[in-house]
Amino acid sequence: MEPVEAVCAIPAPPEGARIFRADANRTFRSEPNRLVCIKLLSFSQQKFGDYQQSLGYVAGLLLLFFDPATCFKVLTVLNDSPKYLPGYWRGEATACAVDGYVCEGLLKPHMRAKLKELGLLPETFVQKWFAGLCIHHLPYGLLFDFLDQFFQHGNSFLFQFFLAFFDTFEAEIMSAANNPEANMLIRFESAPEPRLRQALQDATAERYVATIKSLDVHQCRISAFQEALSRRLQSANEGMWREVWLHQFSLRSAEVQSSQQLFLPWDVLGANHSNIANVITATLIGERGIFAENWIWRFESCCKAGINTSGANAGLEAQRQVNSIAQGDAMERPLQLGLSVKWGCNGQNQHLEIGLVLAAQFRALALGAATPAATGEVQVLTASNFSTSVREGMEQPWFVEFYSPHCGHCKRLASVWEQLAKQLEGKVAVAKVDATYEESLADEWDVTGYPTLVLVAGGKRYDFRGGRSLEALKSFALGGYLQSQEPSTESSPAFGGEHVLSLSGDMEEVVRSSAKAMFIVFYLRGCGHCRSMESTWGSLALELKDQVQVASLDAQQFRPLTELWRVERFPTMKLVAGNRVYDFEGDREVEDLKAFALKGFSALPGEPLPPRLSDLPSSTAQPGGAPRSNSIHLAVGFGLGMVCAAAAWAMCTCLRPASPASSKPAAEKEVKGD
Amino acid sequence: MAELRTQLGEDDDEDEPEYVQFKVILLGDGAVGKTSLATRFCEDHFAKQYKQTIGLDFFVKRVVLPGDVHVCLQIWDIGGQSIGGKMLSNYIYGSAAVVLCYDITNYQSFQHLEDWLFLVKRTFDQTPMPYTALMGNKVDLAHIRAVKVEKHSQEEGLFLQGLHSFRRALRCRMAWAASLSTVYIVICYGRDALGSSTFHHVAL
Repeated sequence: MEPVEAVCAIPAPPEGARIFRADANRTFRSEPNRLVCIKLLSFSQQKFGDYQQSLGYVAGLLLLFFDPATCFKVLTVLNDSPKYLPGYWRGEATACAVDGYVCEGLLKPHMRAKLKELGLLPETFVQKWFAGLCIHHLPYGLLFDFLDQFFQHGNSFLFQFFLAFFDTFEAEIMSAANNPEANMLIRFESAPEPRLRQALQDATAERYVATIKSLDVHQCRISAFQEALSRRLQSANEGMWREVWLHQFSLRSAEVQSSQQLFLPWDVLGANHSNIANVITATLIGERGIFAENWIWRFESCCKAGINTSGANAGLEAQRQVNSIAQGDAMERPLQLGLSVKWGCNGQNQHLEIGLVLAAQFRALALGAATPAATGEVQVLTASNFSTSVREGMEQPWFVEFYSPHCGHCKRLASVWEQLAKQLEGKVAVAKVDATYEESLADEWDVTGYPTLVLVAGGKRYDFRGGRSLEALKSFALGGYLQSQEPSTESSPAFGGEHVLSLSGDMEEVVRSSAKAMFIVFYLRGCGHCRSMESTWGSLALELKDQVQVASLDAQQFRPLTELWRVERFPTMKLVAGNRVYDFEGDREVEDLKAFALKGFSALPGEPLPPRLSDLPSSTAQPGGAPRSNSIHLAVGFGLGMVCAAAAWAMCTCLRPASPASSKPAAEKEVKGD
Repeated sequence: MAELRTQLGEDDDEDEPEYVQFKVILLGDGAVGKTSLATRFCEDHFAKQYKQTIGLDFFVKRVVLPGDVHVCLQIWDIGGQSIGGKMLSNYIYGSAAVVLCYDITNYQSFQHLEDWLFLVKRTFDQTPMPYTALMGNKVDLAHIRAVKVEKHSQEEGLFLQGLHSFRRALRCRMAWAASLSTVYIVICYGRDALGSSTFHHVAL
């Protein structure tokens, strides 16, 4: 096995399922409980896009007290809300490490020096304290006090506890002879319980509260990241870069020389966004081999843009900013990499999923600057270069004319089109396709008349339908297309093919009047996950033809409906039967979907149908009302978190562990080792 | 020998024997039994109720090797989830020995050692590699073995240790004692002391 392949294997070890099984086995004793646990963990991974084993501890504890659905909600709030565990539950625990260093920075100088001497890195033990909430370390009697405080005060309590702990155990740490000895204390193994209790009580003392309150956490995180982590992460990246570069370049150089402009399709293998340090790490994998690079960007302004606004505007704004940053960054690299970024806000404003780098333009430096696409001339596209040039408009918008050489309108447009290209130089690529010759392209793009003018930008198609004057065309190309119309849905057929019912604004009525159960997918055009399951959905529709109505809704186009139905990520599948709504959370395989639609859903409690849009107060019914519904949603989530804390606390203090007969068959489980 | 000790050991109190400090790291996929291995060795018990390691744990073991050599082993038990972790090299750095662990009932955990090894190699880049041992854990589950003994030996090269279950105390101690001596030999006398059995990487 070549090292290159080893790199390939690193970012995504195909062992998600295995680690869930292993962790569940280590948490529960009986198989049914283990299965529930595995399910919860895999849902969480799907939802959060990553898995951290510390989440397993929290999930295990919650499952003692709540049904899986509630646990999932609590986990979601903990993960999504900046109040609780901002970005801690990542496989690569950067966010957690950053906060460890922030706390370390608040310690007394001699203590910091001692920790350094012992080689006790905050990034290692705060994973246990912060991300794992001390669940496997604190004695139960103290654990619930700890959790109680945490649910009440959130993240800042963790910081306070950190400080209080090191103050309480200052003498022990200072006299520790070596790392393992100090580590025993950090794991609370050699820490006497009464003093731990003291530390816990002290944590809410005024002095610590004040210290943390006065802290500019955001700024501290940025500097902690820069001081303690950034160089290390970068050097790790560079190590990887060099390794791969050496292996790949010889292979590529031939191609580079044979072609002035080389577009390589890139995929995002993994894009993590940790909203606390505003850092984005992306690993890129090229189609013809691995070209892994982990890039780190300070992303402050973009994240703000994404958080403060919602929907398409945020995406565009972010994209614009990202582009400018990426270009600046790329200039200093040994190769030029133009990156496009696409944002899929998932409704939950705090947990922005960033679909990073959908396309990249790659050139070897030796060739100098290659010709940009928006050259000022009308480019001729054919079936062979269309998709590699336009690349779904991810790099820049493409304005394409499908023409016929014999059509009078087209001939009249020709000179305007050339002027347009000139005026849009550097901004929008202008091109033409001889539709009579390129029949397959014309078919694909539904060209029924000449000329057909299509603007492709950000993975979407916008048809130009106005008068074909230079001014109108220009303003359309320079952004007018965004306002003028919804992206045309005609560009591609109904999601999943002819057997899928394509829902639209009248969905609420259709759902209510349908005789059969209805299985709806909420999808986004341009979302990779959605695209990859499109054919699955089509075959499902075929298989369920007579039993269940399989349908789809374009979430982008019918955003208010999507929000009303509380769709937070894509694709989301919901089954409507008997005026109740059941969420599908399993594998997106035909078999699983089918089993769910026919029978599986009945095991779930389901939720009542959401009210009609028209029945709502006007503010939430409008597209702009999104933030409000989000915040309501979050508030509900917080509430649940608090309920959880209260219940857990009550269970612990009022009831003996064995007595709650009503609780799940969970009394036998061991969340903790011993 | 005395020379070496002053090089490697710490200057301690008179009555304290001089300890040669070694850093040993345990690497391998999650749930292959790294923590069990460490606790079995350091605390001499096998915890039946086991739990996943988050981040990193440290254990320490003091042993006396033949020739009255006092050795203090710092065992870094690295959480199995961290593969691909960019912070990992920080922990690997400076280790005298790397123990690559896998689970004989799980072929994947064996295959993934390749990736773990790659990380180690990358960390040590230009500098000499630490002594590396291969440990196949859970031989008490030999009836569901997924990694053949031959596979293991094929991979071994300098890899020293055989297959172990850390439920079995004796085997564990033997395994450690053997690998420990080798670590010591390698560190004190250099790799050549082991003769021709330097680490060779065999492709899978």
